[in-house]
Amino acid sequence: MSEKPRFLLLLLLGLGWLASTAPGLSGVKGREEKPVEGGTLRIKPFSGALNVNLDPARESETFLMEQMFDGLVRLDKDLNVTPALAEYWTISPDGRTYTFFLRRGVKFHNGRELASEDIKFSLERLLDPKLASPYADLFLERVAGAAEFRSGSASEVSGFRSPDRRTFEIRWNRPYVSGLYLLSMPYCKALPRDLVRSQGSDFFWKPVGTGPFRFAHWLRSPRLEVVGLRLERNPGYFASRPHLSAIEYSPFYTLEHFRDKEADIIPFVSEGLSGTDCSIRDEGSLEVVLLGMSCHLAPLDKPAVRRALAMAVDRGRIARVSTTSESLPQLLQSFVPPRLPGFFPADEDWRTDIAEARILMEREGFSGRKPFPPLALFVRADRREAAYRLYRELRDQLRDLGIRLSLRTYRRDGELQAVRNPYLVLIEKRLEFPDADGLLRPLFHSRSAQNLTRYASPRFDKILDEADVERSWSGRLEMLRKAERLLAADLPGLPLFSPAKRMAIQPHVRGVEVPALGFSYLNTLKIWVRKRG
Amino acid sequence: MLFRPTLAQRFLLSVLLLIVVLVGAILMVIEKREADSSFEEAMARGELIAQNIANLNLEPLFFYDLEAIKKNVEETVDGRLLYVVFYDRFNAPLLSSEAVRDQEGIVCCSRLPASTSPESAFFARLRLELGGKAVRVLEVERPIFARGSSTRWGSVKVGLSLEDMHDAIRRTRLVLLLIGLAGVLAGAAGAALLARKLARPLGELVKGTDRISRGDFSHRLAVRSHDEIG
Repeated sequence: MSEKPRFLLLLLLGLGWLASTAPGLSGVKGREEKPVEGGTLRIKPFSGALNVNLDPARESETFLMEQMFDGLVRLDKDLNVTPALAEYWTISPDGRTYTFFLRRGVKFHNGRELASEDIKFSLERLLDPKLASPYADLFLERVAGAAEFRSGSASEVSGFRSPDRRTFEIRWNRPYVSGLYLLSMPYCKALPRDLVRSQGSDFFWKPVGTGPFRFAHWLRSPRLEVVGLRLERNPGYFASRPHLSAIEYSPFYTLEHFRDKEADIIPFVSEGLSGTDCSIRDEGSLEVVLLGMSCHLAPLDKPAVRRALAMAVDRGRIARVSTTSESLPQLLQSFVPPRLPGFFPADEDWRTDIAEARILMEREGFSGRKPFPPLALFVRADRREAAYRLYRELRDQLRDLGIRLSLRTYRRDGELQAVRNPYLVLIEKRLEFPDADGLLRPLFHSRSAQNLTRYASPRFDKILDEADVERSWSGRLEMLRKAERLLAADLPGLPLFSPAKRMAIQPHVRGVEVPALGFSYLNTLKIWVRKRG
Repeated sequence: MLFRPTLAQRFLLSVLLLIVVLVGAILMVIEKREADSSFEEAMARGELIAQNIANLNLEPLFFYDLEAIKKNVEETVDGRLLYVVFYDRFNAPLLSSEAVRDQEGIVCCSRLPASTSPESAFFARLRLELGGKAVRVLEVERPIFARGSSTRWGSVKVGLSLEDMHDAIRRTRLVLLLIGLAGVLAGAAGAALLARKLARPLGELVKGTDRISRGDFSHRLAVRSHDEIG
């Protein structure tokens, strides 16, 4: 080898060695930022308005409940059940008894240690007839002794037991696989029994919980009206200590506040934000919008007719007209949102093919000589305005198939029972907690009062009824997946989209992970701000 | 009559002995290295298998869906992974694979101490009777932690057959022995040649000296090389 190539080879080797040892050059992974402690996060409520009720047993702001209180278990961003106040639990072989072992040393914001009696008290409150909690029904038939307590024939719920200070037990009437999901919800939070008893409803004006942030004070306008609230870090939080020192939550933060960096997270209210340095994040909600069809009224009683009708619907265009700056609909490929544990994105054949739809309709006897009867699209009276663009789009699409569509409203689900002509109905359903049964049963079980399509399939009912008492978690999921496949074949409705809220987040806000349940479940423990608040 | 080995024979024996000792030592070192690295590999594999089984069954574990865990475990167990045992937080057995269900000695006890870190693992080498056969087993136990929790939820123990590893070591030993034998034979042949080469001129010198001492000054010794002997 001559001198020159040898020199070049050595030079190359030397450079290679330098490159592999130089900090920051080896590997593609960038340097991780170290979270900054302190700072205030200012959030405009995801729902737009402020709900001043801070009682978890009543309809309250999920985000605030998650900050101030804890439940026995919680869901992580991927909907996995993880320990919270309970560090461990067991489930009896018959699936009817859950025993929770509470974490040691968990303290309420006032310094008093949490005891299992607080859990019993908090869950019993949900069933208290005087409180009339909207969540009572979720427990009433399931928890042993709940009905007796509700009716006043028992002074306590026998299915909620606290054998000692650190053990809490739930006895269900039948195996309840989804019990852990239910207990992770914001209405199942632990309250201090002594304070709620002594202060009554006043307690919820300055509530005390065990959560990562404690209530500091209400934010008031110069005219002393409540315009939001301030939460401050709970330094003694049992899990990791929050990076943020405070959270301010107010619906009065505006686009101008956001532009002036005085608000950190707001709903994406204007396309004008697209050009700024903020990041836009879409949530994945557990809400679904379906186009139900009256399965009990001819000609929609035939699955083939329903399939032909579904084929004439361009779901993509419907989703587009339903898009607002705050909500970006995500097309649904299945009845059950694929985010739910155990469910996967299906690949149903819900393509739009108007020519094929016409052929199918002709095969069912509908042509120019025998037109399809006119249909009504029912929407809830309070959703008329929001659904009007969707109606217009659907009306135009069905016109191609020779179907006339009118818009009608209803106030109560029962009103649809009196309708004698075939109809379509816009069904908007938000899951109470991540359990497919919470969607399939109310919407499609023949005995459900919310079954607006009047779909009645003994096979479908049987699968759901068997799944209801199934002890195995995976076995139950398999049954629910089977029920979903049955729906996809019978098509009592056409899944349209899942509305996903959009939020604008300042670039200095770090550690934001969008949870599968939506922004209301934002994990603030991981969030930090680069600037000092 | 006593065997009085010649110089060449003594030289040959010494060299042969030296070669045998050296080759033996080298073979022993190689075999030990091979056995150690195979065992380390088995330990790493066991740790990974235990962790994978734990991860796969984490969700069913929180729901106490023992049926699903059992199904997963039975699908995983094969000729190499002999058994799997799950323990609860209090080290009591929660579930074990069919093959060891009745083996109280295996199922009864978790080997993990009360406080363990998520990275810790416990290893043990056992000789067990499984399916009427004596099997050498590497037992690996790993703790299971709930996501985002620092408290141990339970643990999973797996038993890996070491028979394959021992078979591989046996095969390596055989190959090494053959190589060693070939080395010894080649060394012996070389040593014999060398001994002959050394002893022959010396023998001729002795014979020549003998003749000269007997007055035969006409005898000439051939000089074949220019070294110490030549």
